[in-house]
Amino acid sequence: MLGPSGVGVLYGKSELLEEMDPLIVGSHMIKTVVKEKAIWANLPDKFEAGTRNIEGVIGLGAATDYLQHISFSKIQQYEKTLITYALDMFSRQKGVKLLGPKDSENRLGVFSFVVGNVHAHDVSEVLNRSHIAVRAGHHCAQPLMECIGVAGTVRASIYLYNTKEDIDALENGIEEVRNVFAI
Amino acid sequence: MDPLYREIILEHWQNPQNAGVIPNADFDITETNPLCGDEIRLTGKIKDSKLIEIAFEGKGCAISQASASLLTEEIKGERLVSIKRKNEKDILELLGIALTPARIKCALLVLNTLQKGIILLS
Repeated sequence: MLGPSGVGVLYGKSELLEEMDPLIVGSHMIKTVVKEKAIWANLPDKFEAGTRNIEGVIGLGAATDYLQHISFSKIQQYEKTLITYALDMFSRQKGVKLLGPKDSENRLGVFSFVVGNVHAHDVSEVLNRSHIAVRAGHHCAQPLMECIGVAGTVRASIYLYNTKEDIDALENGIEEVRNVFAI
Repeated sequence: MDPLYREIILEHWQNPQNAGVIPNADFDITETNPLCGDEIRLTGKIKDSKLIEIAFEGKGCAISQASASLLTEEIKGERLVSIKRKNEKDILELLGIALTPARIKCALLVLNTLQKGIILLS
């Protein structure tokens, strides 16, 4: 979303939200409190106990405006060209196993891969040196890793701020991994 | 030469020493590093308060594998009291590299596991 961290949106049917009790209690979320019970404030106040994350909410609003200004279809279209470019790059890499679909129709710009027998954290260490920011490890999905038969994967993801040059840099980075580990 | 993946690290990563499991071991301990999913199993034999045999198996990055290989080579025959005294500095000296805080845990997994195994034994 390009917004600040620590803010999110609860989206639900109002009749169901009306039925629910709040998870957290605090100021601004009651109508009346008596000894035996409390009557909650109307939606959405009921779920917004205490001081709001004011700067977070304003930041998220600005981020939403920004994305809508660019338009989601443009972002999607741009991402698709990068995905196609990245898939082409991955298809040229010997000894690199890319997980997931190999065509841009049925996938997002998130590329989870393994380089030979090199552990994901060793790959990310070398990539990070070239200022390529990736995530490495089991991605909070240990049973899936076991099912695929890998200790972990390296994950590179693209978004509207990435360029083809970034994917070229990733290609060079993978080449550097091969050099360091002589594979 | 690579500053982190020095020859000695890569050598022990490719050809780990003391890899395997010792049957009828005096201690058999498995530990994990929850941050990265590394896992190590250490089996060893003890005689006259000395570690006479040690083997490791597990999965992990080059740093953790090389560290396990180097440490198990180093401490064979050593007295348990001196193994218990070993610390981060000894491991880093053995590896001969500087590590970022995130990677120090990879290097220390073998020592922490071994020391725990020895403590549980006594």
